Amino acid sequence: MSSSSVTVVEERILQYGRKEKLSWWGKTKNFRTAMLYLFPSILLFSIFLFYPMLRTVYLSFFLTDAQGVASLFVGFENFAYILQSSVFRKSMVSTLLFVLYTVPSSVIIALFLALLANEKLRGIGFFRTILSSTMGMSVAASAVIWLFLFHPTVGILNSFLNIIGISSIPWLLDPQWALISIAITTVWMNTGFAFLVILGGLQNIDQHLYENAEIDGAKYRYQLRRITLPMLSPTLFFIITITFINSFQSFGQVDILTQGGPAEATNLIVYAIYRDAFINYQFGTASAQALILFILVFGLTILQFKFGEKRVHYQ
Amino acid sequence: MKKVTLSHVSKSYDQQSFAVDDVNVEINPGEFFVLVGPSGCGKSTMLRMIAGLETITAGDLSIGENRVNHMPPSKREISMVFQNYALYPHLTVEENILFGLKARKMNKIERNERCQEAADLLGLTPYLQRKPRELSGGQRQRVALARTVVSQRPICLLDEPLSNLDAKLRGYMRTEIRQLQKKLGITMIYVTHDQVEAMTMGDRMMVLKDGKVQQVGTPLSIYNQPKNLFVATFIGAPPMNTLPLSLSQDRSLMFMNEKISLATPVSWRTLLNTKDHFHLGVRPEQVFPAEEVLEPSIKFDVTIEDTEVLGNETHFTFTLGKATWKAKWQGQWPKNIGDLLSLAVPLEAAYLFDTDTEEIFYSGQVQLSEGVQVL
Ligand SMILES: Nc1ncnc2c1ncn2[C@@H]1O[C@H](COP(=O)(O)OP(=O)(O)OP(=O)(O)O)[C@@H](O)[C@H]1O
Ligand SMILES: [Mg+2]
Repeated sequence: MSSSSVTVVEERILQYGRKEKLSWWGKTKNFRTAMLYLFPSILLFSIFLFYPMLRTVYLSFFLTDAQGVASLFVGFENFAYILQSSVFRKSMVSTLLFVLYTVPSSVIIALFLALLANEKLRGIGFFRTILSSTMGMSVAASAVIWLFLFHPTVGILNSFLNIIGISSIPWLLDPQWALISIAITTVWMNTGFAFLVILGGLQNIDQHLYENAEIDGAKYRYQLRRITLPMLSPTLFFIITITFINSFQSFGQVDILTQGGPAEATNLIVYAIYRDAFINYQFGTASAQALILFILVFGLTILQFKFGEKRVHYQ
Repeated sequence: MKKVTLSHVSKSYDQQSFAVDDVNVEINPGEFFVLVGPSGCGKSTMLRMIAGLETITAGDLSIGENRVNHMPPSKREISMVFQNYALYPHLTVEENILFGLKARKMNKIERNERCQEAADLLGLTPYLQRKPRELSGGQRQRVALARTVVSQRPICLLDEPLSNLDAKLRGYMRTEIRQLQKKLGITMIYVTHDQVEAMTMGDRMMVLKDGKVQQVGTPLSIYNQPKNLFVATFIGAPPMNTLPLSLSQDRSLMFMNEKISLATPVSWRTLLNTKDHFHLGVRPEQVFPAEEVLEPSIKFDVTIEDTEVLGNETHFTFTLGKATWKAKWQGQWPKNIGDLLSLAVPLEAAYLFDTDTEEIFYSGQVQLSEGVQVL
């Protein structure tokens, strides 16, 4: 486009592109309509989400009694205490490690399975059902299944290891292994949903693109890199974000498998909050931790959007 | 340059019926070959078998001298344009054009040279850095064509490439594709359901119906000598008029219905000796005002039910027996709905079809010397 044409366009906009003047009532028409539609969900969110959040912020500035009633205003002392506490620091490290263990592996495994299940093979519907079945399983049920699998003497994992000549692993009893065991359970639980979403994304890709690539002589790897992954990027971005947030919030599997032990190795942040609040009745410090977790997840998610979204190709 | 040969090629998806049924044809190098037929007749299936995207149930497909039934698509030396263009939405126009060449690891200098050439040829140079969604339908179409140009492969398959465009652009792209084919000298196999495209673009065309080949030939030969009732009514706009007629015992009268009859032309009587029924077919441009026809003809009077004046030609619609017919006259005729018309069809412009087999058994062989007008 030549520069002269741009100036003509600019001139035209200056000359005729006047904004219409609307009254305040007219200007907010769209806004008011939107609010009307949003009202039911805003109401529910307010009661079950926004109010508890504000309440958490409030509590984090107080010492509380055993009933959780704020009794003494302490300002930022709860935060200061938390940030110096070695238990909290250890919990943070475990949580970050846990996120590192679970997010990439969940997504990569789900992607791999989805790629397999996306092939047109006889009876593939059966595999699709099986592979997405963990989605329909509650956290408690999954954790109990894995509790049996991890059992040091009668657990099937150790029996299997013994058969192939490897000595037993103290899955949930060893501080080194416990976090990994929880991570394995979590990856297994995450896979169903991630698999289903990614498979949906794969099936949405126009088959003609692959046929065209096939005719052009593109090999499978090239097609995967140049067509599948870019076309799938919005789906992958979604599932990474969701898995990431879920990982930070893991609780059920910790509660059932290890209760934060051994030696606090699996005391993930949400479990630590739970212990502080409902076992030690320290609602103030628990709220402070919850707030720190919130800010952390919020910040990391924003970073993810800022840097991750550049690589996402929306259609 | 290689020819494409199909012999007894069939395709069945469900092992019960044929989507493509026993096709035999030889497509010559450098030819513009059109597959035409109504929706669902198996055109795409046939094209995709040639491309190797669909397995062949029975028969042999050869490109050049080699049987290629099991050759993978990339080895067949073909390029293809899809109905929805199949552009990569996340890649720029340039990357789209170069996709195949990069996949084949062609060196950068030659790659860019070809891309430049193709972009110049198709007027895409200003758009090379845009994404497909920022292009108009016609421009997307040209990107798809540019991909086949850079591939420099001798055979190009196109599946209804113009069906997403508006009428005017379609007319324009028709000539553009045709010129491109002539310039590159490649073989094009072109699928369409639009008989106008088939007539105007094809060196030869194949008319398909329900997976079966109805007729293969040049557009004019198919227009002038349709093999059966289906081809006759499918090709041509407005389509050929047809009328079922039943004959009297002595073959002297042809009944349109219980009451109305026409005298059987004397020259047809021996021809119709063995028939009780037949279909009469007449092209709309062969239905003349009665006073203009001096040669032997069938004459009848009708009431005008509708008129359309299209600039320099006029279409009249009227009912003959149970059939609705159209007459196409040159010039502007100031007639009104309800007016009486005396019409005549020269005998040599008539086509007679068997009622049962729908095959043609007589055509007057009128020589349409001044060129056929199909829109
Ligand atoms: N993948 C498939 N599985 C089963 N049947 C199919 C498949 N593809 C096509 N068919 C059937 O084969 C027949 C021919 O289909 P085809 O797509 O070749 O038609 P077409 O001539 O291209 O039609 P259109 O002009 O609508 O594109 C149709 O009856 C269709 O239902
Ligand atoms: Mg088709």
